[in-house]
Amino acid sequence: MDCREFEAKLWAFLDGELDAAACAQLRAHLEDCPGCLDHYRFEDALRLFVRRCCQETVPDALRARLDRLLARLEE
Amino acid sequence: MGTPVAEEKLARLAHPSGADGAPGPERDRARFEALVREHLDGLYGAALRLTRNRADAEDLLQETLLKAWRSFHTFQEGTNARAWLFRILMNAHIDRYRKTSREPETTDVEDVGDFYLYSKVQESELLRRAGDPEKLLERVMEHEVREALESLPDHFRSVVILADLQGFSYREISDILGIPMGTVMSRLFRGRRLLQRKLWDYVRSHHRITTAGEGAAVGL
Repeated sequence: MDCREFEAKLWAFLDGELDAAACAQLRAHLEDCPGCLDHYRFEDALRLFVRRCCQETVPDALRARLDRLLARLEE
Repeated sequence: MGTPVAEEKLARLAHPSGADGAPGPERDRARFEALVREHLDGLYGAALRLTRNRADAEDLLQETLLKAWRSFHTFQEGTNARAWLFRILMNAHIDRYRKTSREPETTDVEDVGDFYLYSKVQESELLRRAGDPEKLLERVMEHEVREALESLPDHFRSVVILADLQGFSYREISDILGIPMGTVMSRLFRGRRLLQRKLWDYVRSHHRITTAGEGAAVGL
């Protein structure tokens, strides 16, 4: 596997969408290629960062409103 | 071998008060509440990014719960509850969106290559010398990341929310949105490219990078 092939599969790899054989190929390439390892780490960190920034918790007022809604649900 | 639902109906016939002692309908309600509570934060986060404001997100979430409760009898125990709830959320959002939007969303956004952000960082010698590429991201504000995501056209944004924020598989997203897997992937990858381009704008402004002539100044 060369760097081009690696990049073509990188997103699917990060998404956990590749089969075991393809994953093994990508991992083998990562062991030999510091450039692609650097890139892999970057994309991985980027996705975690985006996810962390968008993490939300339902505010208490809304939670109370939804509790009232749930209590009123009709069968 | 009956389906879980059929088995449950049989169990209810045998024990009309339900296995836990509560009456059947009460038990349904309790199961529904538990399900909703488990996924409430995730649904709310998705609703916020979809609607781009709190008031609409709250309404969308409330509507989702009502619709979910109404069709709860069709939900099969043991199937993917989270995907089921997100499908209802997405459909409710699409219904509301169609009602409220006056003009079709433009999709002719200029596209860029894959891994735009990373390649931009690599292009800038000074940025690379400034340290770890990941360190760059720390200077981008959290609210800017949310803005960047919210700037994506709706059908790219939906897929990115489901994949990158909620961690659904391509297959699950295909089921949730009712679109083919190939469409999921093309929208997801394009959405990510657009998101990266937007994030680069923020990185560039924070690091005061001028791309002209690669006279990049890193203002740290």
